[in-house]
Amino acid sequence: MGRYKVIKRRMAKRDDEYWRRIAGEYVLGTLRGRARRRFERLRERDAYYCNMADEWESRLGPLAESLPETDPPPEVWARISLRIDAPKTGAGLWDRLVFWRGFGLAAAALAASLLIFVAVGQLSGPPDSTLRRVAILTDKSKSASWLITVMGDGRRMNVTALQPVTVPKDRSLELWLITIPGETPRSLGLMPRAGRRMLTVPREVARLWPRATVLAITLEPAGGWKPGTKTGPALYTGPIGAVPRNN
Amino acid sequence: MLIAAAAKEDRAAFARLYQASAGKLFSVCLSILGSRALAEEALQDAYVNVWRNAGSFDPAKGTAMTWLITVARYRALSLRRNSGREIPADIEAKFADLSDPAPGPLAEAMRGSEAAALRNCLEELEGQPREAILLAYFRGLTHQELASHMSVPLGTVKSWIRRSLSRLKGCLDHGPVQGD
Repeated sequence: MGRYKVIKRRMAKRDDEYWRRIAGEYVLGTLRGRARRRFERLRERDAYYCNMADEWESRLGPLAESLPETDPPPEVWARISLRIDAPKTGAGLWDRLVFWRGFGLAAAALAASLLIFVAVGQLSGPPDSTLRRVAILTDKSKSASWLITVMGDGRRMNVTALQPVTVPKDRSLELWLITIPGETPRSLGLMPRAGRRMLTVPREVARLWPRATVLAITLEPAGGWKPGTKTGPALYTGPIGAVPRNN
Repeated sequence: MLIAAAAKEDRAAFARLYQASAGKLFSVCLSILGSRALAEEALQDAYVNVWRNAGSFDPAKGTAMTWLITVARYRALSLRRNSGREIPADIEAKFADLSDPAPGPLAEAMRGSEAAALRNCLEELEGQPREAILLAYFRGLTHQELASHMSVPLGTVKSWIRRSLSRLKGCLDHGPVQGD
């Protein structure tokens, strides 16, 4: 009770030095528990406390800005989208994704990644952009790294990096289509180093889509694999899922 | 600008805001929570708060990034308390980079003029009080955790923090104390 009276008195007196310290500890994070919640409420209601906290936020802010960036996994954005979506669009997004639930190991990751696409409106496109096949390629730690979508007649595909990719300057990433064990993998071309790109698939390779089972990305010398040599290590792999044509 | 757009519930702008800032905010959350799962949760909550409260962002008070970082840090601090997490064993190793007063990653990252001023003022502090400030800020350590982590009495930590904050304010407002 004594403590509460002291705080009351300090509030009444607007003891600048005291409140500046409390605001500083609030922003620093060492003000915890009830004291933190109490200051939070004061801050919301009263410009005096709000200004004190604002000042400390600008003073200490550059510290956090100095941290390097770490890309969060794509599911985070998907979940944020779901939470901020008004019910009208939220239902629509899920409806479009329900058909994914039927197949594949990576259905959840797939749905999440697709949601990003749908959410940012990238699925609309030129003629015959109907989605036919999808693959999520994961790295050794099973973390989703690339989203690959195949459109229309199989000649067009989009590759999207889901994480930052580091490739040495003198190397290239090459994408391979794998059908059945024993059959030679076919190159689908070189991958971008970041971001999203549309690749055109050679006609004779596009014919193989119905039998394709896995996509893989290998690390090759700059410019890609040289015939007659062994391919480099497979850095990313993932099964290919076909999209049912029911809608 | 992006935050203004978010305030008007512009989804595409909000997606751009996320793309431009999520990497930094995720680092902030990871640093405090030390677990990817919890950091993802904090990050989600932070952006949902940003979406709902974008209107409360006041450009006159600071940069958008400062505001976003603040939202994420407070959310992470709150989750950290609730999760009753232990201090990770590798805290010193990871932290060495940040407390190192010699030119290093911190110096390199803090190139902006405000950042440079803050860095200079942090260097004015003595080693242990500075470490306490940085551990509290980046790792979300409480007074009690700082005391046991740094093996000093609680009262010492409290006075370090109190004096360091006051010195930082003085230094940032008036420049570092010159002379010897």
